[in-house]
Amino acid sequence: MNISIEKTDEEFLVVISGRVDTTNYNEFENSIVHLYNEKDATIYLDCSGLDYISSSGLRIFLTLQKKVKIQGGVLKIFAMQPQIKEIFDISGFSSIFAIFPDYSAAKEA
Amino acid sequence: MGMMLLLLGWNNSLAQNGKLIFTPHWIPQAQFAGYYVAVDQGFYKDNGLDVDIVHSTANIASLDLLKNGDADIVSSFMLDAIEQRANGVPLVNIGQLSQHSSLMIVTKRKSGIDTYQKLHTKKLGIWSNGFEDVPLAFMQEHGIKMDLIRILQTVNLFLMDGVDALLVMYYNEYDQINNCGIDEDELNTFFFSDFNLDIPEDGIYCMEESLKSKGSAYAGFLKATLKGWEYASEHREYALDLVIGEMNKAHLPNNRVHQRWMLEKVLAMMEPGKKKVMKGQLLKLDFERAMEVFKMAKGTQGYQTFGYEQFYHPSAKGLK
Amino acid sequence: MNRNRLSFKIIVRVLLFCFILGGSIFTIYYLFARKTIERESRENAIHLAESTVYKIEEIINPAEMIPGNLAWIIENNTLSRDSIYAFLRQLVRNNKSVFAAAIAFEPYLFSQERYAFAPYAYRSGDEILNRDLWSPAYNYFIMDWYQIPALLRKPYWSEPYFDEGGGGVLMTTYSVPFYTNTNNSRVFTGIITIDISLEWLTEIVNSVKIFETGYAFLISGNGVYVTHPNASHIMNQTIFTYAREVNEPVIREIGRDMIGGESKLSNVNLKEMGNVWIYHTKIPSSKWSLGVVYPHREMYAGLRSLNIMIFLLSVMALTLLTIVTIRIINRQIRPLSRFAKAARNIAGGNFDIELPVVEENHEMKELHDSFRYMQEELANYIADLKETTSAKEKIESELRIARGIQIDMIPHIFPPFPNLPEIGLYASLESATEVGGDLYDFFPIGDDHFCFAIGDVSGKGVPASLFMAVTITLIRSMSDKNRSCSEIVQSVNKTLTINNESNMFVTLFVGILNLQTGELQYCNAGHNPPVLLNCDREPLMFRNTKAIPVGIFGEIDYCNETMILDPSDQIFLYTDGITEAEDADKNLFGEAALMKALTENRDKSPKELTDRVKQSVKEFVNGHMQSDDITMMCITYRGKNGNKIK
Repeated sequence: MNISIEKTDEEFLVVISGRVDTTNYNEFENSIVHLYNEKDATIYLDCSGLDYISSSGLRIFLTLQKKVKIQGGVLKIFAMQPQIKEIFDISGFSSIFAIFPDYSAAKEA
Repeated sequence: MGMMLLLLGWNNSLAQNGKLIFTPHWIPQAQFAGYYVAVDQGFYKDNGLDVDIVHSTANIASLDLLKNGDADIVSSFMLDAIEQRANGVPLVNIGQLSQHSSLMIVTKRKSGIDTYQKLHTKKLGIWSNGFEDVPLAFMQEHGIKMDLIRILQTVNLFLMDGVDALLVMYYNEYDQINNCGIDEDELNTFFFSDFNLDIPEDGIYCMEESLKSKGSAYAGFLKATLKGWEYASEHREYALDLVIGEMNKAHLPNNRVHQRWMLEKVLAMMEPGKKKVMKGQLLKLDFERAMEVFKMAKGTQGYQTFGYEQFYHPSAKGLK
Repeated sequence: MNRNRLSFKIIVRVLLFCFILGGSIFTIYYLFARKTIERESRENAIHLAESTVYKIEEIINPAEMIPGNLAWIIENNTLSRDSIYAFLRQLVRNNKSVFAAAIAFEPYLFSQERYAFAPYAYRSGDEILNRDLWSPAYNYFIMDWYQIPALLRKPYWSEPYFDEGGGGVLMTTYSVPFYTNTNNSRVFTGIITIDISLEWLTEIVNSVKIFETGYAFLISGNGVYVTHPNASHIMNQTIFTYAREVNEPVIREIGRDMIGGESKLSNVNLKEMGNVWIYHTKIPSSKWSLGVVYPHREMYAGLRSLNIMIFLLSVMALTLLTIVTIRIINRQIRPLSRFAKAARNIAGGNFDIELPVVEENHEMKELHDSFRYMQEELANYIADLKETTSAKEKIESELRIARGIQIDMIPHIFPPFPNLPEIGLYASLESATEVGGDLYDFFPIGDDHFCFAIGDVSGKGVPASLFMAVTITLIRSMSDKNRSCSEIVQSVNKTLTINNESNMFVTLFVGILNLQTGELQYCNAGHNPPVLLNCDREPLMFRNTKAIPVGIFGEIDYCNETMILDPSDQIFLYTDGITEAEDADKNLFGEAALMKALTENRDKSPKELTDRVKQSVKEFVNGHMQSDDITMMCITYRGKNGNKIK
């Protein structure tokens, strides 16, 4: 699993690739934990390289969403792979998160 | 010289005792091996004979001893015997051992005399007593004149290039020359047997007189002698032992190597080879040729003539 | 000695090196020594021969003068017969080395009446006598001593001979031609001779000593042995007959060189004597030749015994070296075996063992210190390990207990309700670890309703199991006659959301079946949609409801769905542990495979169906480690009063 976080003036671009499961969800969380305290942040989450996510990983996504909301920011997820989208759909998470097909769509919204 | 006197006295007394005195015609050497063997093996005894071998010396011919009655039987060079007979000495040949000539002329290769023609006008060393008949006949028949230098008995004059050529016996002096360091390939050889002068040499002689009384004994002598030579041929080292023993007794320098060569060549000469003759017999043709040679060398003046039957008496019975 | 021992290995190598080094040094020295000895022997041989020749010449040279002087006298004087005899006698008397002397005249040249005249004076005991050599029996003209110098007109040393008159003494005669002046011309008149005994010559040559078997010998101009250590050779053999006798052609060659007058050193290998030097040189006056035989065997004898001594010494030295080296090495490396022993002890668990004390050797000290360090670290590590292990064991045992508790939370007696003929049911739950996050539950509500639920807590292990315990408890407590599925789900959601900082969530499916009518009310909060099975139809998956799992947002409204079950309809419920079961290549079992397995077994009883599906999954994962909890529940509706018995 690889995480990269770019900060520009106004937004964060988080690129995640690989798998997030019970073995490395901690690592994932540790990488983005500092975002929990960013005020009014706009965070773009690029999931084009995300191959698999388990419920532990979903939990982190949830936590991030809640924390960002509390801090007044917004989380936008884009470029999910089909099987990941399906998980989100089945579990109903699609309605919790702002999910976009690609970056430009996410930017516009 | 003193020895000769001793010999003579001894001979006379013995001749009266029924012994047979046999005198080889030279000092002891392998040339007479057969006789030594015949005595040592008792062949003479087997034939009822009591034989003493008494040698002559370099200066006295065996034929002289025969003439004087000091010896009953002698061995001799045939041409010498012919000369004696031509001088009226009534001796007869009762056995011919040597069937071939071993006379030859040698020259040094470095002299360049490699053909008999080149011998012409050269100095030929020959012995003081006898053996000149064949070379003289040779010179006549081939129109060669050689300057004859008499030498007592050594080859040294030839070795020192004092003469151009040397008359030698193949079985004796030829080997002596080799034994003085001259290799065979440093010599040119002219065998008289190659020049139609293959005249037999050693034979056994006795006086005609005694033949009448002791004829049968002489027959036995020849038989035993031939047997002795046969035995020597088959037991050469043993024969050499006897020869060496005789030579040592006579205080003569000797070595086995030279005596072995001599024995070999003497035995070879006794083989008839191409001649139609049996061992121990004298071929008439050879005798006639020898007579020819003698006449050529010595002429006919003052010499008696005689024929084969007078000279040669195989009447020694038992010679079949 | 054990081949593998270090000391042995070192010894062997050191020894080998010493050997090679020693061998090389020795060889060099030996060759050098040999060369030196060779050179010296060669020079010695030459020197010996030359000095012997010198001694011989010392005696011969004066003797040679005598006939020459005599010739001169005669040439210039006329001597009468008597005076000649007197003269000769005097000559013999005055010269010790001369045994006899003679003057032999050419025919008629002494006097015209005499054919031959050869006055001769000779020693006889203490007296000196004289006589005339000539007699008919003694024709001196054809004898070598006269004939050869006469013909060659040169002085001549005769071949040696035994003089019978003089008692068998070995003699030689030196002849010189002399001339007289007649009519103003120099005329060859005869030969002057002196006879010389060769005894002194023999003595000189025989006195030459060369080790034990070396010797000197003299040969005449014809190669006749004049002197030789083997007396039987003298006068009997020439060097050429000897060469033939012993079949050594090389000796003939040497003989030819000798009579040719050369001086030469040859190295010859003789059968009997082995390798020898033969040096020969000629005696200038007589042209006879002296040979000196130097046997190599003896030449090197001294060297050989020296070699043996060195060899023995070397062997002793090497042996000593070996012993001492072994001792030293062993002492130095004795600590090694002690260390080995200590290591064994430590491995056995005895961490306090005393290490061998090593002070004198730096490398050993290093080894010792490292060992000590290792020993301490090992002890610490083991202690830590023990602690960790016991802690781990503690945790594991607690987990086992927790597992037991968790299992007890879930109904696991089948068939669960024998007195409810309308229902056939089987469920199985296999957690990935000791405790897991999957849950199922079922219980009757009143007489006519049957409630069942299946859920999956996010994650696995202890955290999920805690949440699972809470959830399952909440479900039970929230369900009574009057609550619908959605109400149950909602209240569970509300409660779970409180104090849920970690944002754990549970996907949940709750269903309530009216046993009389077959009406099924259900609410799906983000869980995998169950499958409806019937023998006569294809399996049908429930619609995706898109409700979010419980525990995330407390204010969410959940909805009910309803459907009618026909008797003998089966509902197959499962968690994503099945569809996401992985094999070794990370391939997922997937919905398709699940549907296939369900299709094949839809006519089976719940237990059999469940087992078959489990089997399919097991075959698929093929031994790969279970990554998620696998939970299945299969419920058959048998209809009112359970008419259709399965």
